Amino acid sequence: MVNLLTEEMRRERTKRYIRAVGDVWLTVLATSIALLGLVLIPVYIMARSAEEEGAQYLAAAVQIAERREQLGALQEMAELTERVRVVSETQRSRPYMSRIVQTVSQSASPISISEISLTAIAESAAAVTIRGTAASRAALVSYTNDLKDVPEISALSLPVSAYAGDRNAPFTISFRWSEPAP
Amino acid sequence: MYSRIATYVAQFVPRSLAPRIAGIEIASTFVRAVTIPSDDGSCEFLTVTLGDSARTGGAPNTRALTDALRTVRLKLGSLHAVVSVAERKTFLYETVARDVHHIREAIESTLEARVPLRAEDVVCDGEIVRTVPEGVVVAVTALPRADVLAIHTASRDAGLMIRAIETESHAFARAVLHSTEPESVLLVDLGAHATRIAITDHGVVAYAASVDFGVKLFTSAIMKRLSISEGEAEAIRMQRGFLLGDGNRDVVEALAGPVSALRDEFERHRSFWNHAPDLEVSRLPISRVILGGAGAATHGIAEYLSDALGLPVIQADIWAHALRGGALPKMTASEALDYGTAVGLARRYRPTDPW
Repeated sequence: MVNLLTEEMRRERTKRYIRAVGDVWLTVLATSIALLGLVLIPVYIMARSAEEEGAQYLAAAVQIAERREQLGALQEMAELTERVRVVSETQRSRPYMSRIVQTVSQSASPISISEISLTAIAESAAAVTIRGTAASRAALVSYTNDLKDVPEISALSLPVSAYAGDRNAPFTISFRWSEPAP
Repeated sequence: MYSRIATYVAQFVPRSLAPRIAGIEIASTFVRAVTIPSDDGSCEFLTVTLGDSARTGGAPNTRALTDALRTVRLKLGSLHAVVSVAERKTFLYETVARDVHHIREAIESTLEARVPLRAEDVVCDGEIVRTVPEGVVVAVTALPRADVLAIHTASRDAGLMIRAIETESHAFARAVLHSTEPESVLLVDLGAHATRIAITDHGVVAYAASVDFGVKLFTSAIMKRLSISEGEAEAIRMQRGFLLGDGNRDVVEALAGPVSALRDEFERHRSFWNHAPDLEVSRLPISRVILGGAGAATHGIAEYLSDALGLPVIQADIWAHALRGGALPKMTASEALDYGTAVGLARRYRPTDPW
């Protein structure tokens, strides 16, 4: 078919067409992005709101935990205070207790005491149990003899099994402590 | 290269977004436009009258043309256009090339002899008509470069992208001729002020001429004879026309002069075509006449010319191939005949062609 457009005009026409198609596609792309952005705004707001709610919840949880911790510490402190009070009271009313501890601890024998417990505590007497480890059998024998020499101690008992070990032998000694009459 | 890119790019353009193509006939006094949006849709049409400054007959008044084209763009919503130029400004001739590879050479060697303008001042294009033992017959169309530039500038300023410029005859032939059979057909566009005569060879326009003889002469003759107004004369021309009979003697006598002159004009061009003084190969004799334009609606004229020329003369059917099953536009048959060129231009590309 005859076309009387010059070569330059045909080239220009073709370029304009390509440019126009490109413009249309770019516009479509830009509009799509803009619309997507508009759609994302509510999503962002909702996400932001959820995040704030989470943070508030977390802060409240931390606060509650701190409060609980604080309450726990106070309770523990109260219990300790109560114990200290009981011990002080006991020491005040039973002055021989410190002498028992002093007596059983002042041995020259190589033994180590891990526990001293008093039961059936009376005004001037108590049942005492000592647990510990003796470096050797000889040390244990020596320590037992030292205790037997103390006038306040009576009915001392040491199970025979304590002599089974030659070294680092655990032992449990029970005796009765009686305060001399004033 | 750009053309290949454009073709590739066009694949990614949805057909529904393809720009509307308007066929725009640019005459010296008006611009006539048609869009055919789809094969089965109805078309839209518009005629914009150019201002008085456009009635120069020479180079188109660019400002008036720009305004008219802008109106077409805005009213029809078209961004792309196929435009026709007035026949009188173009040069059309046939030449024979050795083979299809030597067409350019054949055009360049004959251009100087056939076109009274310098080669650099002319834009030309060729179309293969048929193959003969001597080579390939090519119909060459040439147009002054200044006219092409003026139309292109006006269109660009109006926001229209021109996809093609061709002559009125090429567009008219596409609208009314629906075959490429080996025959020669005389196409007549009987306009208001001028008549275009074109002869097609194997469906390709190979000869074109324009004469200052329009259907207004028919109307004037009736007005003078019956002493009536132009509107009444127009109505009589359409309804009674050139039908021979006792009741229509006055009108027939009034139209006898102009119609005879028209017949003589056709005979002159037929004779020129048949004797082929400017071509070294023989031409096929004209086998039929297709009559278009506003004057074709004159009652009885086709029958008279058929008798006078000894050829079948038929009235052009503008919409036969333009609208495949679509609703006919709201216009009279006479008006439709006026839009033949614009319809042919609009049909150059398929409606679904993005490029």
